[in-house]
Amino acid sequence: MRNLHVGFSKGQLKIQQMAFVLVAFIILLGLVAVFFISVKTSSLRKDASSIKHEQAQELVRKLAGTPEFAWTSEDCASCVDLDKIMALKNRTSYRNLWDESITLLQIRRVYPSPGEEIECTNGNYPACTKITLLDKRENYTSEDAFVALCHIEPQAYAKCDLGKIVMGVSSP
Amino acid sequence: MSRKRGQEEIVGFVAIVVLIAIVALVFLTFSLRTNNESESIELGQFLDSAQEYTTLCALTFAPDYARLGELFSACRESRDCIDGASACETLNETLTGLIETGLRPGVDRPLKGYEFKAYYLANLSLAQNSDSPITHLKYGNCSQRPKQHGVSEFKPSGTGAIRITIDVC
Repeated sequence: MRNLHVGFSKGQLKIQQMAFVLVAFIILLGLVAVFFISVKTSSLRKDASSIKHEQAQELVRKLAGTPEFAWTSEDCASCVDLDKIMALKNRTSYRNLWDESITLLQIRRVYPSPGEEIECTNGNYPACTKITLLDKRENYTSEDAFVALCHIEPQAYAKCDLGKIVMGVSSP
Repeated sequence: MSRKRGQEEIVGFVAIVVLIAIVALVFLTFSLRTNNESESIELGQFLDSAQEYTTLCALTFAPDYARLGELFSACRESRDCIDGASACETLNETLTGLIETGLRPGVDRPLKGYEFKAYYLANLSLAQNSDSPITHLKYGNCSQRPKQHGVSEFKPSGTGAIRITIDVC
């Protein structure tokens, strides 16, 4: 009877030991899983924000393909017609063409850059750096996309510079 | 005997911990390695737009100035502009200007460096970066930093294609 009692106690100890090892193992596994998930989540957030940024850029780039912007002299998807945009600048009838959420729409010359920023007017075009089509003077988050800014030079040849379409969307 | 059994259990436990640590390390390495280089739409747009830039090099007569995209083939064929400047020289100067003004790399800027490469690919289906290099521009050191990659491909007159790539960090 005494021996039986001792055997039972050893068995209990063994089960207890095994239970501790299992608990420790599961805790360790849990810690590793939490660590791994947190790393993955942070990278997912980063991916989501970069996809959002790229979608916004694509949207800006889509503007370059609209008839009001497109350069139709040759087959060029990344070109915009600066002469057309300049003509569009002072047309009040086009004010409602843009979405309500767009607060800024600007075309900027990037290269060659004359140094200081000069707004284009009928008097200084094309020796200027930016055309502002819309500026509601509100808070906005801006997105931009590279485009080729093409126009016809007075000597009747096409000239393209590197530029950007900048679009500001009202921040909530 | 019971002490030896206890030691065996500790060794088993340590083995499990080591195994889990190795598995976690492998997962981490994979997840970090895939983020090291990513394709960038912005850089693709930059390359597409830069190709259309009108250079100061006229290959046949003025004012028929060549686009930057046309200078890649002209450089490959070792042609000169009508003002005597080499097409390759004009190509490299214009590219440097476009990249430095458009992307603005610098030691105290978000973009620390770049590597630009242009290749002529005789056979698109067997495209390899080692195919006939046209130009290679580099600034800064990107070897230890996560990179963003931009690529653009176009077909000049004739067979084959030109692939231009840019890596920034």
